Amino acid sequence: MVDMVAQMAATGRLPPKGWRARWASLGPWMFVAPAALLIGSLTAYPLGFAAVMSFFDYDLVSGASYFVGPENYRALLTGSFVHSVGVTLAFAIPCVLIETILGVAIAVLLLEPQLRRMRALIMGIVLMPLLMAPVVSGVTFKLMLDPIFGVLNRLLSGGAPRIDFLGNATLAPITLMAIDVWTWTPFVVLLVTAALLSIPEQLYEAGRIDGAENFQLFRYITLPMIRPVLLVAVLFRAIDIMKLADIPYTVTQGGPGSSTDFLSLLIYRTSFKTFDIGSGAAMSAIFLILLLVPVAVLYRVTQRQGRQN
Amino acid sequence: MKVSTKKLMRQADGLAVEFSKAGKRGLSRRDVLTYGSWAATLFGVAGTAFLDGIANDTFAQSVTGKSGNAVLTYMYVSGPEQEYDRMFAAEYLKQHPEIDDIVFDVFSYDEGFQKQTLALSRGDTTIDLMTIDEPWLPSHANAGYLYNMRDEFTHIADPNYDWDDFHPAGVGATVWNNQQYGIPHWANTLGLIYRKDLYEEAGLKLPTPESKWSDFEAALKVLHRPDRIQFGFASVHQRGDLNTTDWMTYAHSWLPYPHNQFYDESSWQPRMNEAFGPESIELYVNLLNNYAIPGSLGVDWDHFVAQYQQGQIAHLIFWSSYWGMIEDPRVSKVIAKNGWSTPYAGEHGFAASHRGYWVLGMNKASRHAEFAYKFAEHMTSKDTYKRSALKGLLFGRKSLYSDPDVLAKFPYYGQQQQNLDAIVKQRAYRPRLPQFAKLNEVLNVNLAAASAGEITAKAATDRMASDSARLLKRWGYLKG
Repeated sequence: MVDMVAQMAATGRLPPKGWRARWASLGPWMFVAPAALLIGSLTAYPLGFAAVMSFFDYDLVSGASYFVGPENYRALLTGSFVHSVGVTLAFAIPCVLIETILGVAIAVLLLEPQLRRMRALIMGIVLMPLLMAPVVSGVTFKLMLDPIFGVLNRLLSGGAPRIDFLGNATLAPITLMAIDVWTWTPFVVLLVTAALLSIPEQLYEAGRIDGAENFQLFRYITLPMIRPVLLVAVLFRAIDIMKLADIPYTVTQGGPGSSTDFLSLLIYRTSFKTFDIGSGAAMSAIFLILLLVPVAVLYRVTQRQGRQN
Repeated sequence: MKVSTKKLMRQADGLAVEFSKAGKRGLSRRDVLTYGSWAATLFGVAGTAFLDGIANDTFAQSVTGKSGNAVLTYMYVSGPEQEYDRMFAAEYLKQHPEIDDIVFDVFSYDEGFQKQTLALSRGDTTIDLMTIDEPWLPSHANAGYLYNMRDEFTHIADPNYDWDDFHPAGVGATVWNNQQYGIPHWANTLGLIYRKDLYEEAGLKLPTPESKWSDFEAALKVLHRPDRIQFGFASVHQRGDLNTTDWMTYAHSWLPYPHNQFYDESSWQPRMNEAFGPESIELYVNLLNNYAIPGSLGVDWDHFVAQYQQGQIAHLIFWSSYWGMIEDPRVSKVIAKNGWSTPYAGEHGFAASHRGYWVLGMNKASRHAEFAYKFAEHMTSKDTYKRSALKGLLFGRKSLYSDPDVLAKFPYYGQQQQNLDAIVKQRAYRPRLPQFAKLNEVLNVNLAAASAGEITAKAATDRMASDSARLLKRWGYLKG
């Protein structure tokens, strides 16, 4: 009774009765239903299905499936999976590091007073790689880096031996790193520039009065002030780079040898080239857990920032 | 906060009156939103189910905007044949008003197996015909997705349609469990094309089917001239679906006839770790490192075919489907400068080619099976094939290899027949089983690792043998 009265006070209406009351009680669920159905059918169901499939030998062609227990997971320890985890991490860590350092450096340079007039133009140019579809970037780089036709080798070929950027197992991962850095450093520049613009000028003035030099201003004012944004940028890049598939797929196909056989490529090939859905699902499950680490850190960081704000 | 119950009761009485008025006026905003969201949800679910249910019919028939008659959909691999096959299809349409349209659903080679498998496994009724690469056929046929084209259309088949005119190599590529799951449409073989003019200029003996790999290396030492942008040879070395086929050609030639299979044919025991495996990989890697085009491990075949057309490469060990493009004056600078041969013989074996037929198959779920069959008959008739052959394209009928008109215009068809004969003799084809894609992945990953110098040839073949044995046991082929 008290609840009913409280409801009436809150809504200013009599509570409905009979079938209308039952319909009305379903109201909140109905508002949620379309989104829940969408998320359920597009995310939760496939995720659950993949988790179940990782314990089966599932042949997509015939539809036959056999329960194999943890066999698919056990096979990961001896197959290409461990190698691909290593290749992915060996690629991701330096890439994120370089993109972060370069991104901060460019953003700081962009805000130099001498560049004020040119800032919009430079920013536009810097951001251009972000506007290109990764597949287009990949194909363009593949043509540019070709040992015979490629423009880069033509420029370098003044008697020097041609460089096989993509056909050499040592050079190919470094070349892909360069492409990734070229594509994604602007993302870090964008975020860091926004963070830099929000630092009050008075802090620098106070620092200068205290006799701080440029490096000390950067070390003790700029860096602490942009740290939360920087952390978000790093984590976003880390998550994104772990999923990298489009550029290596178009440029190297995982080769030469297995030098650029990233996890996402391996999972794609296993699941959709050979239709070994069970193994692909097991790989995806482990990959998801690996990805959850930076996601969890990102979540904690954003929560902490929210509380601080 | 203090809330007076009596006050609330009074308010409730007053509101009750308001409510009854509202009820007479109609639904409140809240009701509208509640019922609206219900309706939207139900409409969404029903709409999705409806569209899914009718998708095949509706979308298939809406291709031309007409209705009533059949629209045939031909899932077709992208390639040089497309231009003329579209023309032949257009002519066929004019003579057959019962067909509204023939839609070419073109796919690139790399995505073909996935696209076909996904379409067939979900029972897509819109696809009628498809060009199928021969290693894909056991998978499709074994799952029951294809028609037996020889036996299931006898009631409408042209009595003059000559099945015996197909080369035995092609028949072998299209039969699965003694049933003819398709027509051996385009006879494609892995062969050698070389720059005859460069050989003559250098005073070298031209390659023959008796030439050995050592003869090839001797010629490469002379013809590989990077300083002149003239490279020794190109072949598929990039990791992918086809690098294994090239290596298999080397390996087949290494083996004495008739024991030339990578797996024992009766027990499925892997054999590639026997001496011929590492030795043929060492040869493959040695030639790659010393005489292949720069960037071989990173370039695809369209790229090196273009280089050959530009006159930058002395030899191609590659599929004959590209020979026509190399002799096409619209795109090539090396017209009439070429010679052809079966690739070289191993020191202990025979010259071996490799089979790569494209099969014309029919989807068992097709809604226009009889129309599709008659169209397939037309496209694979001797008359249509001869017109294709006179354009330099592939065909499936062996009688055309001795046709004087065809040979006069494109002499390489004579070599094509020799390659096919070598294939039959050497049984030079990829292992035939429904799970070939997975097995091929095992081979190509290890071959790519050996090519890049990550592992030795011996380690590569040992891994190929152990990994494929594990899979073959899992699938029930290999016992013990």
